[in-house]
Amino acid sequence: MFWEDRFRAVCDEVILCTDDGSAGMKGFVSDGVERAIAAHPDIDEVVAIGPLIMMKACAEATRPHRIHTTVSLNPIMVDGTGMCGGCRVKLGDTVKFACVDGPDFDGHLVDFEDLMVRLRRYANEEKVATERWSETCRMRTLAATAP
Amino acid sequence: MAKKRTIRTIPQQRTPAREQDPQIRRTNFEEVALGYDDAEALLESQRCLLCPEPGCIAGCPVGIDIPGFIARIGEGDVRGAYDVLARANLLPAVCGRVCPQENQCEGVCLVGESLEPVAIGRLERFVGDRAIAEGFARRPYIEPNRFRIGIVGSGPAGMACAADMARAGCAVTVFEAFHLPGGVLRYGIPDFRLPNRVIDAEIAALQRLGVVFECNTLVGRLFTIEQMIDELGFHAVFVGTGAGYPTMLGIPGDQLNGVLSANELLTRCNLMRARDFPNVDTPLPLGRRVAVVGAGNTAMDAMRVCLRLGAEQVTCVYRRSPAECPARAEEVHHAEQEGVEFHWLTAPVAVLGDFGGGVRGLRCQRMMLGEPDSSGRARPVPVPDSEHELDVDLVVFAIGTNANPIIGQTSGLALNKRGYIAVDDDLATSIAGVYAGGDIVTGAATVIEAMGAGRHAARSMKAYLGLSDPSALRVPGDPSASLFGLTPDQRNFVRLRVA
Ligand SMILES: Cc1cc2nc3c(=O)[nH]c(=O)nc-3n(C[C@H](O)[C@H](O)[C@H](O)COP(=O)(O)OP(=O)(O)OC[C@H]3O[C@@H](n4cnc5c(N)ncnc54)[C@H](O)[C@@H]3O)c2cc1C
Ligand code: SF4
Ligand code: FES
Repeated sequence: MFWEDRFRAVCDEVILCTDDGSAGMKGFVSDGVERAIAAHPDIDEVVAIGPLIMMKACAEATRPHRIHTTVSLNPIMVDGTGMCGGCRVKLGDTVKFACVDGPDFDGHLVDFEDLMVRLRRYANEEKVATERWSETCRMRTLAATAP
Repeated sequence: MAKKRTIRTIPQQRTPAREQDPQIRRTNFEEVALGYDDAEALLESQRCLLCPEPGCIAGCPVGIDIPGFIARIGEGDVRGAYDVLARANLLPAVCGRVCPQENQCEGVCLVGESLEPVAIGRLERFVGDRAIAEGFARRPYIEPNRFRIGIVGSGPAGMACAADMARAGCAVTVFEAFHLPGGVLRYGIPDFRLPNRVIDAEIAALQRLGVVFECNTLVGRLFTIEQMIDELGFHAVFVGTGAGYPTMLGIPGDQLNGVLSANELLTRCNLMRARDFPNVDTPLPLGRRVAVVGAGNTAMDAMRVCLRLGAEQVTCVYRRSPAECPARAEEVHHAEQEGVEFHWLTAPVAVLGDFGGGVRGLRCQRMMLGEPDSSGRARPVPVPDSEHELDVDLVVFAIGTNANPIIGQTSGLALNKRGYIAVDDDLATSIAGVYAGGDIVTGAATVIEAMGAGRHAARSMKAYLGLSDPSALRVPGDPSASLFGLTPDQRNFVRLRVA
């Protein structure tokens, strides 16, 4: 765990969550969000940034309470200037380009299923590229020949 | 000239341009049209009647003295021809290749009334290529002044404005979002139509004039237009950021993997060199059977790129008829030769998905032409009971673009109803000293019009700064706040501070 002290220094309350309970509470981030909501009924906004599945769970946790929830999306981008539409995400009935219209959106409108499928677009190519990278990675030879 | 040329004495046939064989070229990215050699250019130049009242000049968006440059070719004076061309056109090697000549100069050439018009575009390209090869564009003597000009976007509009302001003695910096300059010429139009070396040569010519290119710089995010004037010490700014914000069709299935914009396909292939994957990191969405929706230049480029990447079948789906097709005639012809199948009067209704989020087909319906719409073109209306499916695994949308919103979102520049930057007759925007032109003002148009707009804005800027009338010279402000003369570290600091 790093920077816990820094978080504590600037937050009124910090709820740590770990999958195995090795630090903070045992549970997912969404469980932590539930706990916070239970303790503070007056929460106005939840901001969730991280893996898609976590942001989705947080949005689901806040939906019944109608707490505005901001999520930060990370679709595959090409140019990041609004020129290609590769980063488009579905928001209710509309389509937005995350790089110029986002990346922060209302988590209760985001179609997470759609985004998950889109994120897998190049799964095979990513594997090929990683393999190629490991084969050609010079760090290994450097490490092997290091004095 | 010995004898006056008449329509009966000139060579009756247009001099053919050599091309790569369609079967070979559909497997490579080498240039398709090979251009005239000296003898061919000379022969074609003799088809020009050198009309005292020519049609062609009026048909040219920047008013090139066309008979003037063609006459020089006829005299064997290619350098002289270049000088005539360069007075109006900064990018002859580019425009000779990509202008829609059939709607411009060649469309109104008087020879064209009874024979095929003079091949003005090919002659222009001949001169432009020769100028690059032999370095005709010598650096003129430039009397430097203390004005600093910031240009946003390095497409044809930005390049043209940069050239004219640099020639006027200003210190010009061009900010470009991508890692390479050139705009659509670089990321959109493929190598087989406009080779990178031509763009590189034009950029190098600008650098010789002293223009500095700052790539990887997204204006609006790193610093705003207002900050360029108020904090970075630019005395005038030109915005030429283009129109590239692709329209998606809004039909069921358009979110599927396997549906993408032509801009994405072309950017991956051209700018990001994805056809060398995995030697480069950007992957390409390959299709075995591809449908491209739309029939403009962008659609033609996307289809021909797909063929070259190995697609077995490429189909063009367009809801109007060939008569309304907005692409250059030569590109449609080349696409047909290379084996693209055209489905005219056909509109997509839905993209059909497979179970993995991919595409298994495109449902379409036939159309027929009805009454003219507001654009004057016949409005396509659906033929009842004409739905059918195309068996495809990749769908590319090339149905137009909107204004890129970044500059609008991040500055106080007034926009028009459609989101483009609002300008007056001098291309001045709502902020003093800030000018705009090209696709970001007009919506998607042409290279030559963007270039013309860049030059028009440069004239207005010179008047604003008092450069065209020295008695009205504005005294340049304190240049210490500028990006110039700073080390990269200091510059990054400035950027961070103003961002
Ligand atoms: C695939 C395709 C094929 C075409 N074929 C033809 C053709 O054959 N003939 C023809 O005449 N026209 C053609 N066109 C149209 C023509 O290319 C455009 O009209 C022309 O390039 C517009 O020039 P521009 O300078 O206004 O903008 P662009 O060429 O679009 O250049 C704008 C530049 O600004 C940069 N930019 C945008 N926002 C920012 C920012 N915030 N900060 C910094 N930089 C930014 C962009 O990255 C880009 O490089 C084609 C267009 C496409 C897409
Ligand atoms: S209209 Fe045609 S023939 Fe006449 S000057 Fe122009 S190019 Fe030559
Ligand atoms: S990444 Fe290309 S439009 Fe957003």
